Amino acid sequence: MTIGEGDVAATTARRSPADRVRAYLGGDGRVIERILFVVTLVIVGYLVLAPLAFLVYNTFVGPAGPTVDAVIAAAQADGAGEMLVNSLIFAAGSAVVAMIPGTALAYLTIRTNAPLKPILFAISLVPLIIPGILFTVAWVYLLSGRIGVINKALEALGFGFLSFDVFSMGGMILVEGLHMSPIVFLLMAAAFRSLDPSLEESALMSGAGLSSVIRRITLPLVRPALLAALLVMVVRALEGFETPAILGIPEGTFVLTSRIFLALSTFPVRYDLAGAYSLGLVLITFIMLALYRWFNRQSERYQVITGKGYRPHTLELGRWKWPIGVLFVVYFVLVVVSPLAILVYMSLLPFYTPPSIDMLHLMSLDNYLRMFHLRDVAGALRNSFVLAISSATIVMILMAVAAWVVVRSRVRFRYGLDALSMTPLSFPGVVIGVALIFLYLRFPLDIYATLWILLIAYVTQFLPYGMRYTSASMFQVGRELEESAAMSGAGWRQTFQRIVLPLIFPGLLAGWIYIMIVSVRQLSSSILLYAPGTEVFSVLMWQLYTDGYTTTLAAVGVSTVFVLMLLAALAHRIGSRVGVRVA
Amino acid sequence: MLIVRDLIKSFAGSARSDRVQAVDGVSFEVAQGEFFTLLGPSGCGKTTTLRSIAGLERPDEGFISVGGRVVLDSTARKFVQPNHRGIGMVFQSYAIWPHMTVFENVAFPLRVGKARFSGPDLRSRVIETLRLVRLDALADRPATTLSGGQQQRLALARALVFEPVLMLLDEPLSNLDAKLRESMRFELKRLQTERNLTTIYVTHDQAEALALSTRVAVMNEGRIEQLGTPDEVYDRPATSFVADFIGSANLLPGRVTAVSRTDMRVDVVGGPLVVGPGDFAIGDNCLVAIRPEHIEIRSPDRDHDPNDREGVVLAAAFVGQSVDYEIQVQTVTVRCRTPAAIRLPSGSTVTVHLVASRCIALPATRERQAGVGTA
Repeated sequence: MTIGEGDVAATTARRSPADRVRAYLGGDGRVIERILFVVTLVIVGYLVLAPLAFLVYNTFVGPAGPTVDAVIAAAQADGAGEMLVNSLIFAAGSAVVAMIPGTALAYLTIRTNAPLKPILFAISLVPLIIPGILFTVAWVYLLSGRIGVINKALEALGFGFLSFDVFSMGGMILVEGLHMSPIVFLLMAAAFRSLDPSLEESALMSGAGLSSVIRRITLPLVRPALLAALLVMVVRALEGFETPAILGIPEGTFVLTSRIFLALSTFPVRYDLAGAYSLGLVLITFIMLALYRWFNRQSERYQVITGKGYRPHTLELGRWKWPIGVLFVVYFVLVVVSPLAILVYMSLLPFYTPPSIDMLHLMSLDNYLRMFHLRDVAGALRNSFVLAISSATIVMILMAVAAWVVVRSRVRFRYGLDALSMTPLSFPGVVIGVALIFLYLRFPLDIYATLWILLIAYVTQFLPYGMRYTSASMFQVGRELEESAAMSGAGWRQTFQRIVLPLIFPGLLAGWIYIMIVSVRQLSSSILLYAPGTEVFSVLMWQLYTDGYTTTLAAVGVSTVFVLMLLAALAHRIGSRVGVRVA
Repeated sequence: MLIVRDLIKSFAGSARSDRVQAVDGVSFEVAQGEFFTLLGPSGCGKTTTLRSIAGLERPDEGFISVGGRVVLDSTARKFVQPNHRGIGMVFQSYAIWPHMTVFENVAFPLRVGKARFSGPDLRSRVIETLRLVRLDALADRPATTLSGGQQQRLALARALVFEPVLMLLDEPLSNLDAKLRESMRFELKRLQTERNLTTIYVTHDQAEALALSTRVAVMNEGRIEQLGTPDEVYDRPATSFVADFIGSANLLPGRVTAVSRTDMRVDVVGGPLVVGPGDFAIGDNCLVAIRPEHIEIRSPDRDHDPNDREGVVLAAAFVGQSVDYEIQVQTVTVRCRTPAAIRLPSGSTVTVHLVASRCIALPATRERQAGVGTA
């Protein structure tokens, strides 16, 4: 026995690297699984880890070797402490602003017979179809101190004391919170839907009143989901760039993302600050998302992923039914109608003036007709289109293979591939921008200031979405469907091509469209990585705003929203069939 | 035809270091044209054994050959991929591809396998196979529009179409309702005998196993407890597990008091009981197995027989052709099944007769002994 073991040990020690590779690949037909695993792992690993490594390297290694100078500089920079506090206030504040209406409306929609439910589901698409920059700009014209339409109206009605300047921490929190609240609605609607109504009914039968049912049964049951949603909101707000940049920078109210942007876009460029702050930001979001996953596991432990619906029982609201309907309408006006209306209004004017009857004769479609003749618009349109198509295609193909390896193969460490693909969720766009600048300034590959670097940024950022769509559809394809193909004599390629791909195709398509949408919205990494000639649509909108072409911006924005709305409707339609919700 | 030798397969358990032994040294051989059933409760390793034959699981150790061709030999590190084994398989879920028509489902193996077909040749083979399972009229329907029974026959057609050397069936009837299950049972048997197809069948349903099989392997905890014809495993269970699993026999603990060539005496609940012959010595502990239908209820005024016992009716359940009783006999509860004509109220005192030729003494296993006290 001992002699045998010794022999095995000796042969293992003597094996050459080539032998080890051969042994790993094995002769047992799992060769393909392992090759695919290694190939996808290398690609995803490079995309995810290389920028992170360079971020760390650039921050902690100076020209004279290892150093913490950057961290010290970051900590001692002007207003660093205030900026950090601002970030936390902004993140927590907008998360709370998003949570309250989102959760309440989700409960009313799913668990009661409230009227007008469809409009809430329409609102839930807002964060997707109204890019953050447009939403924020719209609110500038609704609620800025001097020219805000709402403030003017309040003054005219004699409620001037109620007016509120959006260029403030409160304004940032309000706008970011409103923009995110539909996401809370979707997350919480899913949580309430997966709750068995009989749990509440049995509490009612035990003699509990409605308020104590909500307090003692419903809320404790959805608490993991609530905490998870709260964390997601905090992370999104921390990563948020548009709102703090537009509303905060003019007032000197900085958060991490806008500070990083400023460090790189004003002279002298402070790479050390950008790197150190980025590292701090990614650390915070990483911890938050790790917590989130933990909460999510707690809440999903006993849930069926396929979302098998329970008997749709709803509580009677009685005389509260229509007041709650009014509440829905107010929310709808606040989140959808007013920002879109002000954008449409602005897009029809030659220059911005607050609304009045006199303005009617000035209105025309000139902005829409003119915008396509601007050279910048055509270029940005082409760049965005190329990037959207290519990043969506690359991500979906790569993730289709990766998801197959994760869901189906039995390769060891396959969940590592899953975790790696999901990691960019904790990379704020600004951080990816900073990290890629560091990486490709040093890298021998000369792609800095080309569309390629934007493509790499997009692919990296959207890997998690691709993984989510492909693995969800892959889970719905029963293992036996593939096994029966093998028993019919089909090899891996034939099975993948003829069985797996056709069956997950709707999921691939939905994910592909979804990534197109988010890539058009994407501003925070593009703003750091574009160069003259590689402006994308979101960057163009940013430039139009900062250069004061607000009416052109409005026309461009309205057109963008229109196109995104069509794409979102398409993705939603296809996605609902494969069980992935668009958010 | 099929040789399986010393198959061992373990899976990672819930704990990190934990391994669950799913198949623990299974060996058997199946002759050409046999209908061989692996029977056992869920988790007994029957499906893992079947999937190892298919090549869908890779056993840790063991040897499998199909039709003289070695497909697994752990000592020689030989493992043939499932798609190169030429074995047909029907899955429990049927695994009908939802994006194809009935025809396309059946044509698939002919398009991807070793022997490829196309054109009229392919068409005629597919249609002929569909006719065999009486689905030829539905050939152009989307596969998802078929009923459960039709999907089952489609899965069968797909497994038959490339004329496999061996057919594997993984609980193919378990998703059908009771009536359909019965008619499909006959259909399966007809196809199997018509084509003289060697078939390995996995089920937890003992009635199915007894009705279809030429031989049955009763499995428990990764091992084969007994291998024999349906008559053998039913009439002469080798272990208490087999007796309990097939026909849920009463198991009565006792001690052997006399042994002869034709019968034995076993001290069981209140006196010596005459049981069939067995390989026991005087003083051995044993379990006496007797099926509910072999316990007769008699009027108390008869001549005394050593196999009669007094008991009290605890509960009765009318199940159609018969009535099942639970009867307390001293310290143990026995189940017995009588024709529906006999009706006894709960609480009444009766005499039960344990038919001697049907009483089988089985070795008292360790697990059983532990459970006896509570029975």
